[in-house]
Amino acid sequence: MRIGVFTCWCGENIARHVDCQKVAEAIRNLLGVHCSVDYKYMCSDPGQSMIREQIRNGKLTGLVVAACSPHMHLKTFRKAAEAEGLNPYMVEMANVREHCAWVHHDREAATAKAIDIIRMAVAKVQQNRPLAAIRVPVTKRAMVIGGGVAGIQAALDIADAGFEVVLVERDPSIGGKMAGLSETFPTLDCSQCILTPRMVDVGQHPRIKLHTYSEVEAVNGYVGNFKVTVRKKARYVDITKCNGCGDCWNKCPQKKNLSEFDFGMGKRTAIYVPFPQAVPARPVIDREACTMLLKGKCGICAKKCTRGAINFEDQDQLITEDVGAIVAATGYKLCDIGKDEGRYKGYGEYGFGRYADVIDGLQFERIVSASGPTGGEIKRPSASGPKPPACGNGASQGRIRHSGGRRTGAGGCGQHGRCWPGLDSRRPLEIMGSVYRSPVLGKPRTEGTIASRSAHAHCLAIKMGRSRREDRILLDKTESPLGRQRRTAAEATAMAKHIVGGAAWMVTRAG
Amino acid sequence: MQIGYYPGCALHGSSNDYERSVRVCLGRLGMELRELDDWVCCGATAAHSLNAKLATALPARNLAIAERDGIDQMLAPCPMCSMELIKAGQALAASDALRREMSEIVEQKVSGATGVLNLIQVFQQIGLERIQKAVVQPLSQTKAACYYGCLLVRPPEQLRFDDCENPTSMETIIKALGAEAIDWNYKTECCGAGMTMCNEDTVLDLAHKILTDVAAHGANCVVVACPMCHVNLDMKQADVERRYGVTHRMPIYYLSDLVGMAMGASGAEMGVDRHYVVA
Repeated sequence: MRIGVFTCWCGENIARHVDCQKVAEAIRNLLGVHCSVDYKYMCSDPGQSMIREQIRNGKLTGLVVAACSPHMHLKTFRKAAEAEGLNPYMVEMANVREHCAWVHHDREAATAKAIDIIRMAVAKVQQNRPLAAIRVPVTKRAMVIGGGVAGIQAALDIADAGFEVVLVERDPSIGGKMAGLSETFPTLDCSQCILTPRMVDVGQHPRIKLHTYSEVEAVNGYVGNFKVTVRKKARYVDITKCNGCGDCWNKCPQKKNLSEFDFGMGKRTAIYVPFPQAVPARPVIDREACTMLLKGKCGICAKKCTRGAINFEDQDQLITEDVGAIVAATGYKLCDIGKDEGRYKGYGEYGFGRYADVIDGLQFERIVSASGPTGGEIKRPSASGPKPPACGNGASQGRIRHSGGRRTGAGGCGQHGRCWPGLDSRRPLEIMGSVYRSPVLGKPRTEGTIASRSAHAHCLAIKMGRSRREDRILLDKTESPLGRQRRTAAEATAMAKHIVGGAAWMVTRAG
Repeated sequence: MQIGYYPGCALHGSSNDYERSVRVCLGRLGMELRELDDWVCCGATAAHSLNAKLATALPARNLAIAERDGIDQMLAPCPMCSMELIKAGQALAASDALRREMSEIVEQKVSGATGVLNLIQVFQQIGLERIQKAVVQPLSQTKAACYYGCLLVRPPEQLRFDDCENPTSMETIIKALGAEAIDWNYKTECCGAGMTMCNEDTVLDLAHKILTDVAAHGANCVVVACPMCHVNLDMKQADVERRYGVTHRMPIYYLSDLVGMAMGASGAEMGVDRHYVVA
């Protein structure tokens, strides 16, 4: 094999930290290398001409261009090779700019590393075989997995570009985590005000096919031609007949199921829509909670439904969708206490899961959100465990919220039934970790204070406990760099936990 | 039923009340302690902070003796001892090279197969039902704060018997005696341990924190399963009170004290009368 190696200076970009002449010399003696040249701008016309001349005169059968990232110029050099009759797939790039010169200062070491990178590329090109490009028909239809904000936007962008999109969402509604947030950084713009128009767009778009309450079972096929099996979970509601009137969920007697949308801090019925702006605004029946499905007793929703949309005989369905591209926008989750999450396991020292008033960032969002279990009033998730949402009688709520010295938690509010004690103005709601926003900065909705990031800068929370007498969360923390221990008492603490999972990424690109 | 017994330095010295308590209590449950012949120090903090080989060799010798004498299960009531023995045992079991090296050093064959238990685990093995049946005097007036300290449940990689942040195994036993186990905040905080010799300030500060939290949560006694915890909370309590100008007067019991008393043993019999804070 006759390989030509062309080392580029990229002006000063590479040459400042890599001795390109020395590199070219070192490479020249490698087995299979026919010529090794360095030049100031390999991608320039004279540079390309030089490469072409060498291919012609030296009868080169392989090419290594040691320069920038293949994203920048692989195409350029492949074209140059092709013009001289060399198969373009016999061209390899050795990235000595981004992967070497740009990230090192020690010229000698960087030069040695550049030589290594080029040697690897030379070895690789020796394994290359000439390839012929073929054209494959591509199904011009995309699937987006996940109906959070990333998936919604991806689906809209693809659909607006003129392609059909299949959007698959595991939950009964699209919207994802963002639908549960209150305001967004940095403008304190209402999260739902940003999201819901897009959700509606998805619901109404002629080129978007929406499968909610569905999960991807299997992906078969090959590049550009995938067959995706989707499990449409039994919804027990025919959404073509249903008009979303709400007669069913308003009359459902099973009211005590923890709401997933409120992260267990609110309740929902067994037949439910997860939140008012749901898309589609059609209910599902929770098969683990519905007494009709569990024991064959009840059926009130079916009696109330004037459109005959309820079908207790509904079964999961497997359907197949043909698509040419798949976008995975499966989002993230917060890591849980007590479950093995590899190195993220933990939070036991903070009592998360043990103390109702120690919550995580997403739960805190629900407490702050106008659509949340407290109707946007910042209140404690209570000392005596989660309470049902949004006390019906506002009067008692007001009384409880701020009566100055009142200190008792659930006990004191027992007479009013299901109210949460409000935040005491003199006691902070602690926010730990890196707070990504402080929602009440813009418009305080409560007299309670939030001890924000500044107060806890350089602090490490070491332990949380509960004060029985005062009904407070006790937070022990160390202040670095002195390592002094301090203790604060808070009505509640919200933790900014790790997230697990990642953002959306393109698996393949639409043809 | 017979079980091996590794007292370690504390139970033959400053905490011999603990040994009496353990012997009487387990005796009433029909368990005979067979003390390890010619045992040596477990190495404790002194060894593992100075010399890794010594820190394995000392417990390895004790394990070798147990193996020689056919003891397949052994109680080490001091958490420091049980932790060191368990750690060495696990390391030995995992590495052939280490087994060879240690066998050479201790001049006896050692494989690390001996099961080492702390006091809680022994009670677990006896079984809650048997303990419950043996109770003649339910401790209905006792509101106990179970204090685990640092080493009973740590390091969690080695001691996998309970949740290292919120352990509950002692509470389960206490409840079987008819006592109430209160929920409190410092179950697994440090008592200052060996600092009692070189930095008393730290010990008094930590002990004060623990005793204050115990009282704030309505406990009328603290239950420990560690000689060091007992020293720092019981013997040092008067110093804490003097230093901070408070009155704790909080009796500190060994777990075996409460089990024994519930089974009708007298405090004097178990060395409870030798505690500094009198109930």
